[in-house]
Amino acid sequence: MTDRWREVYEREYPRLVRALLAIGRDPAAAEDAAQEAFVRAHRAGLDNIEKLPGWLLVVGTREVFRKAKRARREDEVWASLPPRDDGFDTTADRVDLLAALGELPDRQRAIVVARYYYGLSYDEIAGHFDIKSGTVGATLHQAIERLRQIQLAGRLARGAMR
Amino acid sequence: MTDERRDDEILGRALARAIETIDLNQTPYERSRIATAPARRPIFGLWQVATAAAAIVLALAIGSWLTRPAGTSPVAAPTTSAPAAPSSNATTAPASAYPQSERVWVYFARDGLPPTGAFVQGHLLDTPAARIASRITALGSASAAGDVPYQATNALSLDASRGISVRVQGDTATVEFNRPNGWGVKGAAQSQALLQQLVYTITEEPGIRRAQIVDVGKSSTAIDQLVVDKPLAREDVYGYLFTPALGKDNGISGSGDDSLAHVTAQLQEVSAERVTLAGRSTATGAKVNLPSFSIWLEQSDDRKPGGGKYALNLVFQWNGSGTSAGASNTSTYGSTPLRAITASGTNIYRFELDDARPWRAYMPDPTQLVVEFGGDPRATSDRIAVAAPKPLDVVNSGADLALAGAARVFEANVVWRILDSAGKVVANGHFTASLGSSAVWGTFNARIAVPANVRGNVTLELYEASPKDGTAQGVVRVPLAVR
Repeated sequence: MTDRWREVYEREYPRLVRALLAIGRDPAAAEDAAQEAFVRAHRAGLDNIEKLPGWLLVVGTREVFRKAKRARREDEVWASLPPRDDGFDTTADRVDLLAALGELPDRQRAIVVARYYYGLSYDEIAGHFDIKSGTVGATLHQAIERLRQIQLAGRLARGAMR
Repeated sequence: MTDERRDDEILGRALARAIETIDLNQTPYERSRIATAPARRPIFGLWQVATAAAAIVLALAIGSWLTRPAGTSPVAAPTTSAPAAPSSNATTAPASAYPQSERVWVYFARDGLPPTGAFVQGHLLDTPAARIASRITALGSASAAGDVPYQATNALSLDASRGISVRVQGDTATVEFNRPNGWGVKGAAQSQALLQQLVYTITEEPGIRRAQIVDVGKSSTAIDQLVVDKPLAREDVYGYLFTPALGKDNGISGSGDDSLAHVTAQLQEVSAERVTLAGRSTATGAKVNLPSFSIWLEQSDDRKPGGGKYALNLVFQWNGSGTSAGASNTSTYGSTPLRAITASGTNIYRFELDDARPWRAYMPDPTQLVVEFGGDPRATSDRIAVAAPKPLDVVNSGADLALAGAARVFEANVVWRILDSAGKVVANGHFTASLGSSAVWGTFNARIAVPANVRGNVTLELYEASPKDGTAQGVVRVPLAVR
């Protein structure tokens, strides 16, 4: 039993923390929420949870948001992003994307991460996040469109400063 | 799928890759709350006391985007119990109840440039040989999965990536391909691209430096016209005309301003191929002149966490009493060639790189140091690196052409000439860089005139005229189109 948990933990934990970090932007809260999600899964029992990765993501996401409400702190992490210097720099593009993700509303952020990072289907997202399955596609599209605009605005702003 | 959906999908994937590059120090299972929950507590009381003393302060480093030494965030320790002793019998991985899919680092080809690394979907197995095979398989599937990065291509077909076997001996991996339908590439450019991708992807395995690519039962292979019959390192295929020498003696030492005490060098900008550092006074926080420094390239150990194949060390002199303090910490960048930066305090940096490509250092002003790794091989020699124009740029006949870059040549004198498609010199001249043959490179910004009667494909050559006999040394040849 312990071995099974170890295996699940070692496989799922890194990706869960990354996802929660992308959603909540607070390293300590992400780690805490991920640990909490595992404790709950552990209590529920491995055999009683269908589709564990998605389950962990949803529980972890709720934890992150719950904590964020309690102490909404502006993060210096994103403010310290290195400025980018040229067109094809992949590091900067990634940094940009993560920064842009941070500008989305909470729910959109969670759904985008669930879809693209976790690869959950529309139905799974609808089920896990308690929204109508018909609106998942539209919400995703809206979110991605917004990401694109933020990223573009950032590029233009930097272009203007040069 | 509609175009709109596809565009969304592309951005979504890029985002997933960005999230994957977030660097973390993982809380090991033994210290997780589920392993330390009261129900799992073993009976050895002494053990608990002992391990409880080991503080569980765990740090999450957000490597990809921290410009200064990453701060650590203590994590709320479980309040319910002391951590248990690690269970020692959990070494074999049981058959998985869940499909294992993770992201695997492989290399894609770029036109005229060294290959670039990226994460793709795959399954990493547990021995070096099996991991190498799984990276190749993941690379072969990358096109179908839509995982090829922007402005890069994949020359490895799904077909050729199957049925391979790998043998590891010392630092060399021999990969035997079974490809009844051939490699599926044509021409020198595609063959070279495929070879680069394979060599880089195979040698991505920690501890492996050379790749021998062979056909089943043979000791060589032919990628179209390109015969491959010996083990190749990344430096054999990356496309640069020379490989920089290793060691402190072959590095660059710069004399800075050592009159100021307690000056830190802060990372200001970091990109895949360039790092900019600026001097800052610890007392006032003001931008100040940088102290003396030395930079050198050496082989690194990629079996260590955060290690690359090679690393550039950058050490600034610490003036005044004490040290620059601060713990050593590593930020992962997940780019090519820069993989990670380790900072020790605020005056020692180590840039972990994918390969030993040409590098240079220059100072735009006394407060700033720029360290560059690589560049376009066509625009890079051991003493000249051209940033503008870029190879294959289109320039206007009769107009001024702006040249920019860095050089380390005799008396700072950079000679240029334009050759037409027949190899005839149609224009020439020279200009000076900001510094001559000092250890630190100089920079240049010059304008040259493209003659009005020149049209078509030309080559812009920049070089150093040998102080001995005037012959061209360290020639850079940038292909351009004039219209």
